[in-house]
Amino acid sequence: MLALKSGVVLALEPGIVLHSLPDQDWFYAFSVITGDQFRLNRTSFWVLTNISTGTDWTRLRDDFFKTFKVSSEQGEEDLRKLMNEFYKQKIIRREGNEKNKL
Amino acid sequence: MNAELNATDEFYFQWHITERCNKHCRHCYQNGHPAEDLALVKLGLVLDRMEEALVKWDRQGSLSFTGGEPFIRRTELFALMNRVDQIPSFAYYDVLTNGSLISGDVAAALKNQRKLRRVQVSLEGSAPAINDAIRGDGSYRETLDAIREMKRRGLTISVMTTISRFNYQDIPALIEVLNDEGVDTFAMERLIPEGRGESFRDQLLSSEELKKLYESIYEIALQKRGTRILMYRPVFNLVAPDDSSVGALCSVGNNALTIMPDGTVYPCRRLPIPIGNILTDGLFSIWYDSEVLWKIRDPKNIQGKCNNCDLLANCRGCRAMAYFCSGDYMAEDPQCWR
Repeated sequence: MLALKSGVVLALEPGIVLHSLPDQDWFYAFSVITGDQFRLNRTSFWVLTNISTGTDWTRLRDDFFKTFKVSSEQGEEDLRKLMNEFYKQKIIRREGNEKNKL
Repeated sequence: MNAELNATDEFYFQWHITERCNKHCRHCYQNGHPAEDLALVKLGLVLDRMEEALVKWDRQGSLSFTGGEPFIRRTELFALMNRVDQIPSFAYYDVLTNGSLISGDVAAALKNQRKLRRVQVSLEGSAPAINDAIRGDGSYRETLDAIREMKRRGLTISVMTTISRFNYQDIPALIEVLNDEGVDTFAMERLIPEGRGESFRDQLLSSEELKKLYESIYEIALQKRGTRILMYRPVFNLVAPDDSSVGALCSVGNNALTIMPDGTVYPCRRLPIPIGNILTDGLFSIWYDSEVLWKIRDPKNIQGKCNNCDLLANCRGCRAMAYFCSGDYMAEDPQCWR
């Protein structure tokens, strides 16, 4: 389970790259190390793109609410679920030196 | 063994195990400065990388061993074929050769290769006068001898021709010869003005000449005589847009890569822009993160008349032809007649 709290900075796992062809509704995360590929939807891709810029949890959450016009209650629950899935799939990690444990 | 794979299930590698060659063809895409060959142990590592990717992607691999002239490295070539015979993720392989080093012994040994689908040799015309002017004196005879040697042993043979002003009017006559020789398939590639072929630039077909040729080839193909004519090439679509046996989306960025003798990877042998090295970068990094491949994958990046074409989903032209005629691999295909 991902412990997300204010100030936590998130990052893509090493080797994860993001690519999209939006006109074809085609969004992917790839690992250039393991070769794994993850088909994403537009929302997931937006979240990962933001994480790739080194955003922290609070800003990511706030931007998510604004961009997708969702209530903070429902939006946060959805976003936390998504983040846990990314973590489980080894697409994201927490930046910093706490043994990358989230 | 499934010898013809669906493009969505297949991943194709064209592997140039050497650039050394015993011929000096006028239209060749090589530039005369061969890269260094890898030792067999390193070639094995290249194969490991291919296998790793095929397993991860759950694709069936197809592979063309070529050169240069691949039989110059006969020992290594057979060692690699033997290994691929044992790798489940490879469905089949072809060998692309000029045929000049295929003796009876070699043909017999090829017949024992379990996953060898066909041997492709090159011929540029129906008679020595045309072929040998491009490929060198005696080449026509050598190639025909190789075809006969291999047919005698029951191998499947394909002939490939590079089309230019020099030979395009002779193609129907060449197909007659191939029918008579029992050649199984015939394919054509357009001359690309690169490498030594750069000096052959004035022999590039105009779009009207290409149209005339493709239409006449399609008429011949419809007769369904002995030699099957393969027309899976960009721009061929224009001849018969509703016939699925004609034309194809270029495989660059979709399901193919070219590996050079030193492990350098190109999107296609005819588009020699290095996008990494299979040994030092690995295939995942190249396939997932090459800027060149991503640019090609997005059809909206294609310029000129190709961009607005109603066949864009099935054609997109030849990126190598665009590159060597305009300097921009996303430019329109200059030989398209639309």
